[in-house]
Amino acid sequence: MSRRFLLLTGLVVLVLAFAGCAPTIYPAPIPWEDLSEFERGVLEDGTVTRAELDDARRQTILCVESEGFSAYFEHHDSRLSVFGVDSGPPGPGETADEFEARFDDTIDNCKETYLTAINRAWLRQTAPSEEERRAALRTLQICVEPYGVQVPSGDAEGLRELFARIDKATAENPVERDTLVNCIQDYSVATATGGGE
Amino acid sequence: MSNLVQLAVAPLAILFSITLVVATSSPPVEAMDPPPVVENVTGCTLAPGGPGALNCVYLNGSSLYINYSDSIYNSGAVPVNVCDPQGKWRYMLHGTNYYLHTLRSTDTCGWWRGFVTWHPRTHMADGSSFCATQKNSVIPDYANFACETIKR
Repeated sequence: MSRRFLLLTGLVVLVLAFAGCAPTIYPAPIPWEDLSEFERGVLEDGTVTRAELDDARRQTILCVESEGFSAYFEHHDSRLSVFGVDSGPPGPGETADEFEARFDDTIDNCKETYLTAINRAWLRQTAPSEEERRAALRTLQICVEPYGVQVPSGDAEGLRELFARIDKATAENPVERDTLVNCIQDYSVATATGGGE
Repeated sequence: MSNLVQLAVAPLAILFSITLVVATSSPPVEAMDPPPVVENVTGCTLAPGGPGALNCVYLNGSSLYINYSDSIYNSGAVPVNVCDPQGKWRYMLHGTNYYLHTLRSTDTCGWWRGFVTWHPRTHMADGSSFCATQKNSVIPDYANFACETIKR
């Protein structure tokens, strides 16, 4: 390993330390041969438009509904959403295990066919900048400050004190616990980059 | 909901020092009718992943009413990045059938923990189990359900 490389690596580590941010994490792209035809059609030009994302979500819902379940998206903001599915009652004669397996398989299959790769590409192309990540960390710090919790960085070590406080509050002060959990969830949403599978 | 939720926690979870307590908050008092007492409870089971990894269900509600529930995956003693959490809940509204609900909080990551919050905002069957599990980037298959018993 050259001295120049070591110097450069050291500089990067130093910059990250001063920036107080965890490195941005991107998932490995899904191999082209593993994509569904629907996903290939959307991704062949290399970008995902808002309309294409909305269509992917619509197709996912229709796919889940075709198995008798109901599905929805709740939007965090213009980038992120929560995907929810309600099972309703089991089918006639269906055992609990069969019901649960059908529920799980339907969701996995529908997501893989219509959503996962497209959503991931969307989040990648709309990922927050380093400046936005630093701002999100600052928001987190302000959010937990009233509880005397320090969050020096967004990595594991930096969040250690916050998680310890959440554990303590879970037993002693549910209101504080909920506030701190909301703080960290907002930070997760603000820094989402496209998953880590 | 003093007797709403009974702790039915895997004893091993206690070894890992996650506090499993029914706690009572003090909601603001206004007007003549006292507000419902909101209680919170957490139950955990051991989960795949690193040493001490836990899968937990957290409940917030009153009597049979569940306001919201968190599915929480704690990756344990060795911190890892937990991404793409998908929570799954099993619950009974009435009758004898358990229903399922799943939520995927799209593509968020967090060190150590995966949180997914669901707001059922409805009443569950008296004496039924309310359970949650999770899969994520650390555990690609669902962990065992962590459960609590709903009681009036």
